[in-house]
This record gives sequence, structure tokens and C-alpha cells, in this order.
Amino acid sequence: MSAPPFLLGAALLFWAQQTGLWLAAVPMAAVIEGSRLMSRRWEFSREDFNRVGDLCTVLFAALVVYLYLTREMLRALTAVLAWIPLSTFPLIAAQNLSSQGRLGLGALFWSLRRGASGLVLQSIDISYPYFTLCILSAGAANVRTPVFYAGMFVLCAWGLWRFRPVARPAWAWATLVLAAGVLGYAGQAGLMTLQVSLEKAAMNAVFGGGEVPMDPYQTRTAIGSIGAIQQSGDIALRVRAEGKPPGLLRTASYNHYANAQWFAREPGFRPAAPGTQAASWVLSASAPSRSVVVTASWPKGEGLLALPLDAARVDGLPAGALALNRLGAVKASDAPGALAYRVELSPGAVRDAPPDAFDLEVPKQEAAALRSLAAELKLDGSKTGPSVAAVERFFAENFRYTIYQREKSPEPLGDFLLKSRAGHCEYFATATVLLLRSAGIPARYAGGYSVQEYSRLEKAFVVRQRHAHAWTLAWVDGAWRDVDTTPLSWPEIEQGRASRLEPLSDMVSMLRLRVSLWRWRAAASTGRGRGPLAWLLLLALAGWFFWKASALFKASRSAPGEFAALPAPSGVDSEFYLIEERLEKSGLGRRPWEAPAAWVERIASDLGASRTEPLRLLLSLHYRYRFDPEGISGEERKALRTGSRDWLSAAGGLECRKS
Amino acid sequence: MTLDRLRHVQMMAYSCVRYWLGRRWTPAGRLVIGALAGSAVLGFDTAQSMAFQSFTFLLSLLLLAFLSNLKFRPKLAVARGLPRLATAGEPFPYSASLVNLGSEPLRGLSFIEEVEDPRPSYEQYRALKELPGDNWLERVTGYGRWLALVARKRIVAELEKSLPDLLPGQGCELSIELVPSRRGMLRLRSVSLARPDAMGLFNAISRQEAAQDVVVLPKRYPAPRLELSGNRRYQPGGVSLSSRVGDSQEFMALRDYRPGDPLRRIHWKSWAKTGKPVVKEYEDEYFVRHALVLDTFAAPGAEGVFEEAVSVAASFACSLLTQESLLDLLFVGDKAYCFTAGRGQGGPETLLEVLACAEICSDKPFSELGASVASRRESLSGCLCVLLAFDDQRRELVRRLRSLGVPVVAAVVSDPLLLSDETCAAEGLHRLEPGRIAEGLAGMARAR
Repeated sequence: MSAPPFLLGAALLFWAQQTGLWLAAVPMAAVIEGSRLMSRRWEFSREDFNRVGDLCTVLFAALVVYLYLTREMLRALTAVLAWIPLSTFPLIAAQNLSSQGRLGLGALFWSLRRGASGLVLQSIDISYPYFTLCILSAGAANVRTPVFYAGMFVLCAWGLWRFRPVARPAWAWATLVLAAGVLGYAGQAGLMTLQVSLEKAAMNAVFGGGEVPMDPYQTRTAIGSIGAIQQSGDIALRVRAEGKPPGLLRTASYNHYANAQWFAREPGFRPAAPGTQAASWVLSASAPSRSVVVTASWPKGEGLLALPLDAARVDGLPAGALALNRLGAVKASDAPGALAYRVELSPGAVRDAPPDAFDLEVPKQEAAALRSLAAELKLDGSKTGPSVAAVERFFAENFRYTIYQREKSPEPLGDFLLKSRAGHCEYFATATVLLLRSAGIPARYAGGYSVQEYSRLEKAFVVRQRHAHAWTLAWVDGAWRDVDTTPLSWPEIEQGRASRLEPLSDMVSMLRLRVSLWRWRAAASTGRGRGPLAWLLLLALAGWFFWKASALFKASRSAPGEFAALPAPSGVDSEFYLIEERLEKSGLGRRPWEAPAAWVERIASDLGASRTEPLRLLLSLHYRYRFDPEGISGEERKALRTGSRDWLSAAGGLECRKS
Repeated sequence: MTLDRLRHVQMMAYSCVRYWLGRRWTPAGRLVIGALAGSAVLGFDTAQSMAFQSFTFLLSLLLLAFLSNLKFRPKLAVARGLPRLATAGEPFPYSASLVNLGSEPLRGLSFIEEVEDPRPSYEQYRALKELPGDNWLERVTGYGRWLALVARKRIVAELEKSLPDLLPGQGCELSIELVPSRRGMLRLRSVSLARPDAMGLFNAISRQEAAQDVVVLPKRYPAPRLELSGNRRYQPGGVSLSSRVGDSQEFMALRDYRPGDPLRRIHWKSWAKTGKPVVKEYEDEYFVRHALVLDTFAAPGAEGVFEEAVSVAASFACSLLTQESLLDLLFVGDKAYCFTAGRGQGGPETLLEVLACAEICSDKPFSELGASVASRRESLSGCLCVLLAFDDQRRELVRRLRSLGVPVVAAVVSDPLLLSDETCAAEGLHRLEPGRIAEGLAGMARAR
């Protein structure tokens, strides 16, 4: 069934409103709706429709290549979906402008262009499928306003009205559609909530906390969770350093602890100052002494930089913006999907704000136990250096590293400190922070990675997801210092969990990173992503398209030539036609439905016997010359020619006689 | 599990879903379901696309359409006025009368004829190999074979007709016309009444049992009236068959001369009067008996040829049978069959009904047919064989019958590439090309 007037035009305008593609949508809507006003239609054959289908495929492929090369993968995917009405437009235009008003299924499915099934010969009206495509593509634009739901509801109701059974009352239709609108709106809200909770539950089930902080405002720990914490062996970062690399790369730090979560209170992000060179950012005014190069992938084009404590400057980071908070987290946005940035280090670099009241807070629940332990260890807030050393010694001598917690405890941190004395890095880091704070030493919880594994394959240090680590930042002698109290055995324990297939996955990971880096460098060198690869692929595609198009053009142009090249029907040069012409002028012409033999017999009385007899002979030769598959001999051909001429030369009297 | 088993299971599941979608959902409903599937894919991640909002709205539409249309129990009396016989390719009209026995008026209903499930069994599916015209997708999925088998089993296309509004106690009569695409037993199982919901998306279905069968006779061509031998043979125990004509002294009638009639039976006066030989007929146990032999041993993939052969046999069954002779239809199905018609034993329609249900024989040797014919040679005046090919076995059958003195006319339904003109001329065969049977039969008449 075809769509009601103006529905497709309205759907296209709605699509444009969501995607912003007004320049494309307005002419498309004009063509579709304008075709109703136009009486002219084209006669498309099945093959013509198939070619239009091919054109749509080429357009779609070009669109995919273009969007892939100019956008991040995820954005490219959504953009491809959002642009589908554009690439499929030739099909609906061809349908609406054709005399058939329907498309053969072969235009939509290559598999149905040939075959024995009856489907090959079937055709459909794609108005409503195209309408559906417009609505879905409008949704893919992901403009998160109520306009989408309202517009979709109105257009769907408009489209459905045509299918309303005449026997049923209109109010029943309206009630049901409205009820569906309300139910659908409530359902979409529920669906969003459901996804969030499912994601949360899945994250908990898979990782159980212990992940690298990717949110500068809060991080969830696995403190209090039972079972083993899970981390994958995927490579997160590569670090190349002159000499020894920094042991810890921090992504964020936090100053408030509650319910097994760390929060950043009043982090106060501010933009980082750009450096003198392009893609350079200044984090601290100190002069750099050495540098490390960190390679990372950011599929979303944004993320938290993993930086050593003494990072002073970041070079080679072509981000749109770089912001850092007072707790030392550095966030880049509008950055390439893969990049290698150089971090200049300076021993005196300062990017974390000095301590404040938040850095001395201890949760009430754990305060008593921590205070007694601090007293036992004789920690003194005025002697920060010895106190920190005492804490480090205390954990090193009395605690062990484990990734497995057997029992659930209402006071997991107290149990860790006083009973089990075993846990993973988050326990050690949290306990150290709170213990130091109990003694009056400002401390913060830091999350990031530990650099510990050198890869001969990559000739660099590789940092895996399982190297995600937590430690403490302590204010020692007027400066922040990394304090890592997790037992030194933890890298070995984590290494024991490595998969045997890890070398293989490392190789794949390296290849992917290199391709990604090359692509992004190419994109950066030419601007807006139209790098050599883009040109190469687009050129190849254009070449293929023109090759196909020229083949089609040749085929269509050569079609008349082919007919011309066919052997001309034999006998068309027969001189008998001249006689026929002459007789027609004389008023004895052959009637359109009359066979020549019958005609000759009819006019025999007008011609007289002397002219009729030779004419009969000539007609017999003409018939054979014209229709006998074996043709006539050369002599007979000559006889036809001369006989006809003689007859014509003698026909002058005929005219006189007729006149 | 073999690949074919997997394909069959997949096709069964596919046809179930397709049937459910086609029967339970209107075109608009199917469009909404398609859009729902699209929005489910696009809106899988609610953070990345707004298509999840379309998903919930479309799902709500479908749910409400379903829930609002659950209660549908019409009280209707349905009766069909069906003919007993129909012919393949020929439309047959019938009427269906419906009376609303309930207290509620019935509006906007559709009448659907439910026919027998046309899906092939696994054995049938496995037996059919790839079809030559299948494209790659049909070959991989086995869909081409499936469609071919369904088309072979399906005698009529689905029929849906709108019903007029029926007030309580009111009735109506529907005029329906079905066109059987092939011969066989058309089993009309039940009648379904469909009512769409207020949005026109979901059909509530109420089924009324009304099982009735129609025998669809094979398609028939204008067949020539072949002049088979008129030799009368003694028919042992044939008293019941000799009610009309024979060799006793009881004169029955005059008829045209046929080759083989004894000269003493010629009625010279009538010849003189009419200008053509006429013979006298007497009542006795000697009479003309012809055999129509149908070859049912079709090779896999030659089902179309078999159908043509059945049509040829049906055409001859109508043209050969005269009031004066008997006609034996011989073929092998699950056993060797012989059905006799003529001389009060039933008319051509009896044979056509038998032919309507003839099936391909794939579990017996061809020699069974030869043995069946040979065992009746004494009583046969002539034999018309409709063959599917002309291989050594069939050549042997024809030669053997001829050597036994039975005049044989052999028609072979075959492609010219498989049976040359030279072979036909040498063996005295008539080739009938599938798709051009009528032309072939006309040519057969000219040749004789």
C-alpha cells in the first residue's frame, strides 16, 4: 500500500530536524511530494530498477567509507545509520517517478535477481518501508529531546490511520493509539533505567570494582566485595622512557571516602594552558628534565591522561581541550582515537593543589579503630617522613596480597586492618590514606596503573588492564608523594593470572594500534580526516563506480548499434516496392491490411492482362526474395530488378489511363 | 544431524513464523513488527540512539492491538456447497453460506479457507535435489527446493474474502471461486474468520471445522481419437461386461469399421449407403479391450514430466473410451493397479479420479509394470503406453508387447534433446514435449 500524501515528505523533514541534514532532506521531500503533482512518468524495466538498487549500494558504500574516515568508529556507525534515507533515496524516487509505482524485489536483494522462485517476479511498494527508515534514522541522530518522541508518535499515527478498519469506530482507534503513546513513553523511561542498572550489575559481576578510574569525580572500589576481582590482560597503555620508566601513572585522585567509594570533593576543573608548540600543554611551570612517551587508545575521543606525579608538560596531544582539576586529574576531550603523547617530567612539578580539610577526613565508622592503630604505630602528624615510613613498614611486615575475599564483613576495612590483614591494592591504598589522616597527615587516594612489564615485541613497557592499581598520595615535607603500601608480591600474583594466549592477543593489539595510529596521523596531517587512505579508498570507489557506469553507458549506447549491426531483413531493397509506390500514386495503392497477392488480383482489372501477368511474376520473385530462407539466385535477383524497371518504364501509360 | 535435516528444521520454523505473521498480523501489523525489529537493533544501547523510544512505542502498539482483540468467539453456522470434482487449471465456483447465530452483530470480518498443510516432510525434502534454476542463496539455504515442494503440494492458493456485516440471526451467501493449480485431493479443512483490531494490526481468528474434499482431476488436452485395433478378444468371466456388444447371434447395433474387424461382419448395405465401411455388432463375451499404460517411474527432478504424462493419460482416457470397448488403466503405485472402465463399468470420470491421485513410484522396479501388462495380453486388443522416457527397460516393454501380438501406440513425454527424431521413427514412438503437449497430441493425430 502506498503512503498517504505528504507523509513521506513530513517524515523526511522530521529526519532533517533530528539530523540537521536540511540541505539534503528538503530537495528529497520536494521530489517525492512533487511527483504527485507531475503527470509524467518513466517506464523503468526490471533491469533499470536493479541498476538503481546498485546505485544505492554504491552510495551507501561511499557513505560508509567517508564517515569511517572522518569520524570515530562509534560516531561513524551512528552517522551511517542516520544517513540511510539519503543513500536509499534513489529507490523511492525511482518508484514514485515510474509508471509502475512499485519496485521489483531484485532492486532490493541481489539474491532475487535470478532464480526459480516466484519471488523474483514479485514487486513491492516501498513507501511505508522508506517511511519507517526515516523514523529509525531520525532516532539514530540521538538528539535527546522530547521532540523525537512527539514527532515519531504523530507521524506513526498519521501513517497508521490508513490501515484503520472501516468497521471499527474511530474513537477506538484514537484511544488505542494514544494509550500506546503513553505506554511507550513510560516504557522508554523504564528501558533507560533498566539499561543503567543492568550495566551496573554487569560491571560489578565482571570487574567487581578494582577498575582504573575513568571518572574524575568518583570511583567504586571492591572493598567489601567477596570473591576474586577480575581484570583482563588487554594492553591499556604503552610507555617508552629514556632509562627507568615511572613506576606509577595516575589517572585521578580522590579525597572523600564513603561506602567503599572514593569521591573527588570540589575538584574544580580548569583548562590547561597550551604550550608554545602545537599540541603542547603546560601542567606545571617547572623545567622538565626527562620525558616518557605514553601511547593510548581513546575510542570516544576523550579520556583521563595517565601521568606520573611529576608530569610538567604534555606534548604531541592534538586535543580540542585539556582540563585539570585540583586533585591532579587531567582530562582531554575532542582528541584522536589513538595517540602517543610525550610527558615531560620535572622533579619539582606541582599540579595537585595543597592539602585542605577534605584530605584529613576519616569516616566515623572506622575512626576509632584507625586512631588506636595510629597510636599503636606512634604516628605523628608533625613528623610526616618517619610516620609514612612506619606505615609502609607496618603493611610490608604484617600484610599479604590477595585478590580473593572469602567472607562478607559489615566493616571490611576494620577487618582488613585488624583481622584478615590480606587484600588487594584498594584495601591497602584506602587503609593507608585513612591511617595517615588519623595521624593528621593529609593523604589522598590515587588510581591509575603500575608500570612493571617490558615487552620485547613492542620494545616498550606495556601496561595491562590487570596492572590497574591504587595507592596513596601523602603530603610529606610540604609536597605530595606517592606512597604504595601494597606488598611487592602483587605483580607476581597478577602475572600468574595471565592467559596463555596473551602473546597472540598482544600481537593483534599491537597491529590494531599501529593501524589506528597511522590512520590518525594521516588524518592529522591533512586535516579533518581526509588523509591519504581516505583519498585512496574514495578514488578506488569512484573508479569502480565510473567503470560500472561507463559499462552501462556503453551498453545503453550500443544497444541501437547492435540492432543496426544485425543483418538487415532480406529483400527490403526489392524493386517491387517501387512498383507499389508508383501504383499508390496512381490511386491503386495497397490497403494496409491487404496481402500483396490479394492486392494484385484486386487491381488486375484496372491494370489489364498485359501488366498483370509480369506483375504476378515479379511478385512471386519478390515474395521469395523477401521471405524464402534460402533466398533467390543471382539471376533471379537480376530478373527482379530489370523486370521491375521495365514494368515501371511501361507504367507511364497507366497514369494516362487513370487520369 | 545432516545438513538437509538442519535445512528442513529451519524451513519448518521459517514457514511457521511466516504463517503466523501472515495469518495473525495484517500488512500494517507486519510493517510495525519489521520496524520494531529495526528499532531493537538500532536502539540496543539507549545512550547511543533514540531508536529505543520507537521500540517502546511500537511494542506498545502491538501489545495493545493483541490485548484489545483477544475476545473473539463468533457463533456462526458455515456450510459450503462444493462440487465433487474440479479440474486442474480450471476455476471452480462454489458458495459458502454463513449465518450469525450469536446475539452480537459481526462486522468487518474476513472469511479464510483453510486448506491442508502444504509443507513437505523431511523424506520428501531430502529426496529432492537442487533445482537447476536456483540461485546461490536458494542452494545454500535449500529454500528453492522448499518452495518447489510446497508449490507441488499446494493445490489452491490461500483465499481470503471480506464478509458483509451480519446482524444477529442474519445470514449471507458468499460466491467463491478457486483455481486448482494441480490435480489431487483438495482437502478443505476448516473455515477461519478473522477480525482485525481497532488499529488494523492484529487479527483475532476463530476457526470453524468444516472438512470437505474435492477431487481435482488432471488437466486434459484435446486428444486425438486414435484408431486402435478393433480386434475382439475373448474375455473370460466377462459376462458382466458383455451386457451390450459381442459376437452372439443377438444383433445389437451398427458401427464404423475398425482395423481388425472380421470381414464377415461388414454390413454391405450400410457401406453402400454411407460410402464407408460399417460393421454389425453382436452381444457376446468377445469384445474390444484396450489398455492405457501409465509410466509412474519418474526420475528425481522429473516430477513436471510426470504431471504432463498424467495429463496425457487423462486426455486419452477421455478420448479412447467408447461405449463399445473396455479401457484398462494400468500403472504401478504402492502396488500394480488396473482400473477398468467402459461397458457399464464406469465412465471416463472414474479413470480421471484414479489419475488424480496417481503418484510417482520410487520403491519398485519398472519390470512390475511390464509384468502387469504382459499378464493381461490375452485379453487386450491394443495398448497405449504413456512413457516418461525411452530407456532400455521401456524399449524392452514396447518390443515385448509387440512381439506378443499386442498392437502398441507409445507416447513418450520427453525433451527433444533426450529423445531424437530418429529414435522415434525407428521405434514407432510419438514424442510429446513437456510444455507443448497439445501440439504434440495434434501432431500424433496427423501422423496416424
